[in-house]
Amino acid sequence: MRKVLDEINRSLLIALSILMVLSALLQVFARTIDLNAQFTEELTIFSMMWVTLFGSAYAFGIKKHIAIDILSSSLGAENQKRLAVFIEVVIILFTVLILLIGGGRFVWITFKLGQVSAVMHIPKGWIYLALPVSGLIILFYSILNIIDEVKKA
Amino acid sequence: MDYVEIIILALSFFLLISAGVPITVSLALSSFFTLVLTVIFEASVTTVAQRMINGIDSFTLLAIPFFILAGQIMNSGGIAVRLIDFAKTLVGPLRGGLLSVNILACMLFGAISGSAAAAASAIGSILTNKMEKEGYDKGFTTAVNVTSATTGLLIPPSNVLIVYSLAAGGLSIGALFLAGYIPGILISIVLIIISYVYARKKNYPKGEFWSGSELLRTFVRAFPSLLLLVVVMGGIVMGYFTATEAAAVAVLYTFLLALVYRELSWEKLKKILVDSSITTAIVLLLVATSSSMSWVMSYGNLPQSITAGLLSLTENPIMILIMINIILLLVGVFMDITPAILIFTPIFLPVVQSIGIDPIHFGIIMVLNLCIGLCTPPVGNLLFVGATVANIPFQKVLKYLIPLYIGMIAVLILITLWPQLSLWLPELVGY
Repeated sequence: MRKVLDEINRSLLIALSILMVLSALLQVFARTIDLNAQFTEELTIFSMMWVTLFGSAYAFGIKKHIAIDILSSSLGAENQKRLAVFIEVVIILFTVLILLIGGGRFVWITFKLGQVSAVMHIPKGWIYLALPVSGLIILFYSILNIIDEVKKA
Repeated sequence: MDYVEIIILALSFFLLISAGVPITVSLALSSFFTLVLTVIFEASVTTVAQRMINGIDSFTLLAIPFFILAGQIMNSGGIAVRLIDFAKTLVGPLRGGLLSVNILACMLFGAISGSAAAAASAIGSILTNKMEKEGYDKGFTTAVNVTSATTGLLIPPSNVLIVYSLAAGGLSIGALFLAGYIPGILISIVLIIISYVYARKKNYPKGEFWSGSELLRTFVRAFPSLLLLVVVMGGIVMGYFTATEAAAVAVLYTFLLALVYRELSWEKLKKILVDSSITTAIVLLLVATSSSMSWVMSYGNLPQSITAGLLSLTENPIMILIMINIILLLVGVFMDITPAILIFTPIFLPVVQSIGIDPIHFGIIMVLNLCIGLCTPPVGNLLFVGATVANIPFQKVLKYLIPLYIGMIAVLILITLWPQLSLWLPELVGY
């Protein structure tokens, strides 16, 4: 389960990074030959937003987000486990409240208002959809992390 | 903002981060807890999500992922070895010359790769064994390696300065970059002096003396990497491209360089792209969530309250700068530099601007200050990286760090009191 999710995430991140770099380079190049390529700016920013959200989801999976772990290192093994589970529960709370409910509502409102991007005229709701979708991935990862923690002898 | 709200915001944030909850999550949740006191639930969650996405909807911000990626590509190369060889011909003949070589190489590597941790690990892992063989004290060499790695955060291109520019509401990145040179180089010089004094006391060996042609040869080998610094800064300062475009060009340049040196395979490239995406995401999610927190703070006029509160204590600019510096030093002990900049810039910048401090100058003070915290436990990324590559428990490094901390704090005081050290270069170029 985790392996499949990791693999999908990694491929997505690789594709998005390449897209982000190429469209930014195209912009520099287009400007030097006076070509109008305004869409590149939007494309670059959108791919960065997706890299941020999906990269974050992946980072939650491998517990790479910056945290202050003084408390944990001062606890015994049993309490360390409890604390790790508690932290995952807080992450789930964040994911459900902010990314799934908040992000979901935000996407819905943006679609309803019919907001489109300035140059490419993409409905912005599609871009923002990364909020709830990455939220779902984080939810999976957090549940998997809790299971791993509980299984740990 | 009511006192109740300030207390809820500060307390919930503090409790969450001390429990070890990721800082991003703590920022978003404490913003939500504060907002939901006055705004209905649906609007609160939606606002936090919306502020998060708005926080990363920025073209300037793109410089960060590109510099991270360029740095990662650089790391995979033999560039550390080339920079060390070049530094050796310059400062190697000094008493305890390898320490100075470490400092200079760390500064160059940190500037090029944009990552202090990468500098400490790349340069440290090559030099530690060599220095140990020549009788250098491992605790001191690690301390020097760790502190000198911070200079890469001041010398451009530097992602933490870009983060500060954003947190300050969009300062000129070119001006900030230029402002970082002199303070960064000053730190290196002070560290070299301290190492030299220590080396004389311990009678460490001198390195051999290199001829002019050797110097030229090592320079030519290091030149392609050093050229990157010139291209990026030259391009930005001459107004040829924006910081973001410069960063994208840096990616292309390092990529081509790695191809020429035959250091890149598709497998390696895939790993680099994934790793740099994760680093990018960690930094930018902090930017996103802290922008929701700073929105909540300014929604409740918190920065104005803090400004008024601090100014009621004293209106003496020097006293205020000293107070802020002490608070930031304490913050740096417990918090990594990027979240600290994102959280405390919106709080302190209005204060210092109201007493006439230039925001560019304040940015350099803040970054230099928080750099010291990177080398202190209990939260000191650089210290842990440095100790790990040297294979020594970090507790054994602490006593050797003390003279170096003192040197860095001396530079901090100098930079704080003498604005021209930061502002002279940007003004010279016309910012």
